[in-house]
Amino acid sequence: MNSPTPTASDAPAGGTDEPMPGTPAPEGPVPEALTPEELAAQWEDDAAPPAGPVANLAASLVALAVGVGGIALSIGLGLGDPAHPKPGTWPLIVSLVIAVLAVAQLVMGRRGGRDGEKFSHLSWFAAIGLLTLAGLVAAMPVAGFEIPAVLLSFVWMKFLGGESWRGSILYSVLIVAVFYAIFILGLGTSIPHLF
Amino acid sequence: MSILVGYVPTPAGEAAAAEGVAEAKRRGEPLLVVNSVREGALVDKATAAPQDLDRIRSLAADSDVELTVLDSTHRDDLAEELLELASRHDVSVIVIGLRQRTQVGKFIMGSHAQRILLQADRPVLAVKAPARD
Amino acid sequence: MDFFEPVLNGFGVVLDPTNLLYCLLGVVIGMLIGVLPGLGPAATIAILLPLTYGIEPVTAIIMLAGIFYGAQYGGTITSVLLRLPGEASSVVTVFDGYMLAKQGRAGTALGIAAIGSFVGGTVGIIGLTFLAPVVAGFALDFGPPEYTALALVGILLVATISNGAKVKALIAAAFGLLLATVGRDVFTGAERFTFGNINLADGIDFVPVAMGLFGLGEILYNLEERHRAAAAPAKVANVWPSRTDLKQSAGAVGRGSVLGFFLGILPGGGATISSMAAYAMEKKRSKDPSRFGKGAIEGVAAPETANNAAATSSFIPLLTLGIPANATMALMFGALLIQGVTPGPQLVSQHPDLFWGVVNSMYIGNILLLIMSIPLVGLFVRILRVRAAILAPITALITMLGAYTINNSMFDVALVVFFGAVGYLMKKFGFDPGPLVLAFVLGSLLESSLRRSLLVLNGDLAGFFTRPISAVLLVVFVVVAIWPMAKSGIDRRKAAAASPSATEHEKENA
Repeated sequence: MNSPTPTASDAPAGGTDEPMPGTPAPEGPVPEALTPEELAAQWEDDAAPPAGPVANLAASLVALAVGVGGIALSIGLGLGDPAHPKPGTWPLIVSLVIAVLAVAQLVMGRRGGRDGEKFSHLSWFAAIGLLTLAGLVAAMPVAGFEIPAVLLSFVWMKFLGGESWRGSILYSVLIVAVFYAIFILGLGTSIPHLF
Repeated sequence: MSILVGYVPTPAGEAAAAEGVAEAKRRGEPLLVVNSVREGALVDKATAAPQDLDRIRSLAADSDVELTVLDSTHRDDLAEELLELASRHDVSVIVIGLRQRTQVGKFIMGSHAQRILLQADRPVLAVKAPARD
Repeated sequence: MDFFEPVLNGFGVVLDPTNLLYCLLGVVIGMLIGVLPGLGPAATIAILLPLTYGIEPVTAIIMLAGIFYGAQYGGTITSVLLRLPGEASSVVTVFDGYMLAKQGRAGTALGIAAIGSFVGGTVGIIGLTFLAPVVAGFALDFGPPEYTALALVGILLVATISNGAKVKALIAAAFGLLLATVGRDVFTGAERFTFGNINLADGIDFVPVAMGLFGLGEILYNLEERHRAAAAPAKVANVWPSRTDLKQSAGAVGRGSVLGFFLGILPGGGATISSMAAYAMEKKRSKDPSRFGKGAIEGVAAPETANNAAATSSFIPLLTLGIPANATMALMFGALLIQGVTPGPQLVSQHPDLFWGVVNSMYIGNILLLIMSIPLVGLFVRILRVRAAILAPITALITMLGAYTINNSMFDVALVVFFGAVGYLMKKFGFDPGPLVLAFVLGSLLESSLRRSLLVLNGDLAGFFTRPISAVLLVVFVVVAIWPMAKSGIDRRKAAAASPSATEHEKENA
């Protein structure tokens, strides 16, 4: 006879909101008679927590700075009047709108809302990804695209993606080789290249 | 003390599961089956379908073996995951399936089985799929 | 039969082998990215924009359109097989589609989705064929004030119907307008916001902004994706829907197409809202609503029909008025601008080949979708086995290398990276990037029509209201702008009126 699954008595260290690894699976497949409401609730549980009031404050302040800066620069460009608009007229209107909306958002969102996402430890991945991309931009004119691209691909696969050493190196070289074939040999574009 | 089986829905994996049940019965210990799924893709052919797990359950039930199916995922290191689970549940034997691989194939694509065999701190029972007649 | 001549010419354009090939390519790529999690049609269109430089305008739009409606169908596959919506417009399909798959009827669900998509798309195209020239003809009388008001209403509607905080979407839109002012002022030649940088003198190019915000931003965001366990590959038996299934869903398909068509025309409407509305409508008018969520075939037929109808009809504002109805249409707008074609009421009369070529390509594309849908499912499920870690650098590198090919300029690539960071941060902080791109694309046209209006009206702002059309549009603008705030004010007052009596209740019960 099938024995009932015991509850997880040993709680492993680490892991925050993900299900603890090595816990007994529920009997049979995951409960399926989930109504749309339950499914939506499950998705919401799995989703990242909202950004929160601090993020709202920061974002609103940045927007306000952009608006104020825009206003200042627009005035410098000359305002004119409705009959004779000058280069600064339209940017002034837009910057004013941004500034007003930023203040509105600052006030309305001060308790946080349901939009946005909090940064998590996974966000470092995005930061590293961005850094590698910036590095590619810097290195491409000097060293051609091949080597920086292989490095970028390797970092993304190995460190951001959890692939093995062997796999990352192999796939990276393969991918860049294919890109070389397509972009340089096939299409004849003038992307800076070393080989 | 229990038996841990690293299961995948392949002939070698099925053989490992069967052998795991037998070993659990021989030792009179409970059986833990884990199908550790690799993260990153939406679909993976190493994932066990519910029918596969049900089959193992009935196999265990027939032999009067107490069975627990463990839920687990790993990023790139199945071997480490299995060894970690083995240590956490303090199993007496790890049972894995071995597939036929040439030495070159093993070098290029790596071998989970090899790493488990070499790094385990407890007995490992490696099972081959039944030879095709 | 003077009316049908341009339509038939359009078929001639479509049946050109190059255009057919690009149509096929677009539909396949569309289905593919609809299936793959992470990249959506907007991101893919943005990334592939550099490809459109070397080909004819017709061909480019045919391919991009194919990507768009192909993706609507591709998202259904993961919804049905894995209970994971591949696209936002396939979310409602999960409820009944996955249950059908669990009952062993995955092929039926996918089949009815394909048929529904085809019918919805076809209804959309027919509507487009008849409605578009009418609207375009009407809009030819628009002067600068009307166009200004229309552009403002369009931007506002998209911002207010976007997900996330409305005010943030409006800020994003306004920022897009501001970005559009960078560069040389067309009217006076003065340089604005260039900070002495020579690359900015001609203004910020649309393509790097789009590639960065939608393409790279999405890629960076996906790097954060919380890992989930993979599912076992499901086997799909090639079972087409039975005759009873078809009869049962006929009503849903019919109603879904009409609903989807009209919801798609509205700026800010679109495929997602249509699919949800169609599902809700079917459930409400069903004799047995409890069937929904347990494998009701109408629960798949209705949303899938609606989202394809909406995807098609969302082209109408773009091709007839030159107003993009959503972010993806904004990308199409940009793609047309690159080719030197300015979308607007004159498009139908000045570029009939382009207009009818694109419209008719949708017929062909929908037929291709229907033919390929079931046979390719197996292939797509195999492609789902490729890990995200492999796909991510591929898409990132395609984006970077493609960005360079626009102008052979490293500055463009740098712009892509910059806007990629901006796009990522916007997502994290809850700003919808769609309104930004939309406003950016419309920005310079909006400003020039505003300034031209002021010249026409001699600076008399009241002139906007004395002209009937622009007056109506501006009233709509004000209503849409004020309505959410008014509504929340009323709601809050209602809640305040209710709570004193609630607290009294508590005191009594305590």
